[in-house]
Formats: sequence, structure tokens, C-alpha cells
Amino acid sequence: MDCRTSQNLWQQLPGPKERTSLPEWGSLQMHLAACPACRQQFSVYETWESRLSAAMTDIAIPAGLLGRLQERLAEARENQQVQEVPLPLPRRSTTWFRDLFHKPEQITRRSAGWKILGGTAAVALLALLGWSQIPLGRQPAVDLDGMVSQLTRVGFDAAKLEPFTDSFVPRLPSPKEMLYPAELKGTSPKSLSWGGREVAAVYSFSASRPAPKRPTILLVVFSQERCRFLEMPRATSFAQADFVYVNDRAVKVWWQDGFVYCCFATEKGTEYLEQLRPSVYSS
Amino acid sequence: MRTLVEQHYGLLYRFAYRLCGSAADAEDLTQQTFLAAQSHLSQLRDERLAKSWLCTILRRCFLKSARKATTSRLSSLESMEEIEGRIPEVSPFDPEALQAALNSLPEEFRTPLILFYFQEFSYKEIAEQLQTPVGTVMSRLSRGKTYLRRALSKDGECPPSLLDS
Repeated sequence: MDCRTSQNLWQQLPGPKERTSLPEWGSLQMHLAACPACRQQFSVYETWESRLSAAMTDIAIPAGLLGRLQERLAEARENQQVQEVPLPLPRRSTTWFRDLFHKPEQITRRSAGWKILGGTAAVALLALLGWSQIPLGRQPAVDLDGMVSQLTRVGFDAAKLEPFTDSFVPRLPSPKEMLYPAELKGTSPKSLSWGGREVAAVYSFSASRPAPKRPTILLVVFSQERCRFLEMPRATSFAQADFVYVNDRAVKVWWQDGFVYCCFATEKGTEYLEQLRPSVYSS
Repeated sequence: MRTLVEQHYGLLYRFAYRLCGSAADAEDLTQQTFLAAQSHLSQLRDERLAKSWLCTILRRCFLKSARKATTSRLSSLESMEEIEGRIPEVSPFDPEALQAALNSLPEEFRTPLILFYFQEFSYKEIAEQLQTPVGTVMSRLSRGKTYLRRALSKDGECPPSLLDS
């Protein structure tokens, strides 16, 4: 090996761990042993390289970096778990007495008779139990208004007859506020309930608009003072959910299989409005 | 995942720092890398390859963000000669000078240099991470080293023989 070849080889040398396995390593060692000039230059080269390597890794790790990373990763894991909640939610959970009132035509005379008889018997039994003062396990009173108010950050002011009354008519957007000229044909509102209270009303509007056509507009009203139009195609999912901001609080709203779902992000995760009673919505 | 983070966050942060040149960007990039790794953890078949795998993710994240930022830093291989013409006159191994010299290199030269000087990876591993042949890695390293020597040397502080090599 001559001096020039050995100098070229230095440039190609891998790190200290690898270089001994090189086939030319033995020849280089022999040349360095025999040539004092190359030996001196190689020594300078090695010193330079090791100093540069040390300088390259000489970077202080910021204090608390590991903690911040772990925290952020844990957050991401939690969010992932929340999103993995199976959807859609149960279609119906209406109670039997609701069906009794909502579908009177399906009740035959005979079954109605039995139900009236059963109801009378139940009332009589309850009266008897009350009279005999048998201690019954009573559930603590649930502050539904408080819970809903806390979740939605919307106060339910009795004076304003909130959230919704039959006489309430939502303020429709003026033509200037509409993104495009559209004719709105509204339907009667359907309510979204949480904890047995109406917390939102959903209005459906068919809109005629230029392409791209979107068949339906939903108006979600969270109080009589706050409402927002959402344009939602029929086939949508949680991933495509739109946000409604109620008092700076984000509420996700989406429509799936004819049902409207709303959920809040809370400290504990995601709270579905229809967690207790899904609201059926159909236009 | 926790173990992976504990074992490799230092290396990744340093790698990110050398790529980005700033502590804030390095931390963001490190975080981004671990988030991506967490969501694709099932792709890691062999834990012994975790270090390489994480560095590959980090480099991809960096390239992605660099593309978004549309920095003109990522120049072509042909720009090396032009770069060699403007050598900063600073003392060698001054941290800022070292970073400035690295920043002025195109990414395809910078990354193998960083990985090489970290002494964590073999040529083969660097080549696999960069998805380039080993010969290309060696060639880029050789040119990159020459450039660094020029960039970090003041007269008399680096032997002329090294500059000529």
C-alpha cells in the first residue's frame, strides 16, 4: 500500500467498531507502521475525527423532556381510546310508556285493558307500601339541570322558558349570512335530550343550491340565544363530525343512519348527549 | 412504548437537534416521531431495530416538515461546489459554527454525517435508513467530511494535509 492509497482509505474508514473487519485494515496498519509521515497524519486525522464526533453529540437534553414526551404520548393514547368507542350508538332506548303515548294506534283494546289494570294495581301497591312506611331504597335526587348546565355550559333560565317551547322559533339566517342562495323548507324540531332534559333542538331544512349538492341542512340549537346551521350530508360519521361551539365549548355533532349524535369533550373523555336516551331523528 | 422512549429519546433529540438546528424544533420533532411510532408500533417486528426504525421515522418527519416550510436549505448534490466556496471563518468545534456548517449542507449529506459521527450506526445501517446503496453513503460521507473540515478550520488549526485529503 502506498501513501496515497492509505490516505484515501482513511476517508472511507467506518467507525472504530467496524473498521477492524475491513479487508484493507491489515494493509493499512502495516503501511502506517512502516511510514512515519502517514502515521503522523493518520494520528492527526483520528484526533480530529474523535473531537468532531464528541462535539456532534454534545447537545444538552432539555430538562423535563422525558416527562413531557411521556405525557404527550399518554394523551394521544387516551384520545385514541376515546375514538375507538364503537359507533353508532344504540338506535332506540325509548321506554315502554313512551310507546304507549306515541303509538296509540298499535294498542289493542285487550292489551290496553291489561295495561290499565296493571297500572292500577301498581299504583295501589305503591300506595300500600307508602302507607305501611316500608323503607324503600330511594335514589338520591339528580340535579339534571346542573349536570346538563355543567356539560353544555348553557344555563337553563326558567324566565326565558329555555331550552325550547312550542312557541320558540329559531332565528333563521338572513340571505347575507348564507354561504349560498338557498331556499329553506324547515321541518318541525326534534329534540336531543340528556338526562331527561332537552338540551338541543334539531331542525332539518332541505336546501336547493348549486352543485355540489348537499341535500340537507341541520340547525342545531343549544339554547334560544345560540344556534348554528350545519350543512351535513346524510352519510356522515364521527370522523366527519362538525363542531358547534357553545360558550367556547366544542360539541361534536354528526348524523349517522338517520340519527343525530352530539358529544362533548370533557375532562373524563367523551360524553354523549344520548348516553342516557338516544334521540331519534328523522326528516 | 415507555421503554422505547426512555431508551432512545436522548439519541432522537440530538439527531433532531442536528437536523433542525434549534432546541424548540428538535423537541417538536422528537415528540412527533414518538407519536408516529406509537401509532405504528405494530410495524416494529424486532426490538433490536428500534433505534434505526425511530431514526428513520424522525428523518421522514423532518423531511415532511422541511417540505412544508419550503426551505431552500435542501439543495441538490450539485450545489456542493458552491457551498465549499463560502467557508465560515470561525474556530473549530464552536457549537454554533458546527451547527451552522451542518445547516449549510444539503440534507442528503447532513444526515449521514450526523448518523456517522453519533457512532451509533454502521455504514450498512445508515444506508438502510437512507434507502441508498452503501457506496453512495460512503461517497457522501467523504465529501461531507471534507466540507466540514474546511468549514470548521481556521488557518493553522487544521493541518493542511487534512484539508487536501
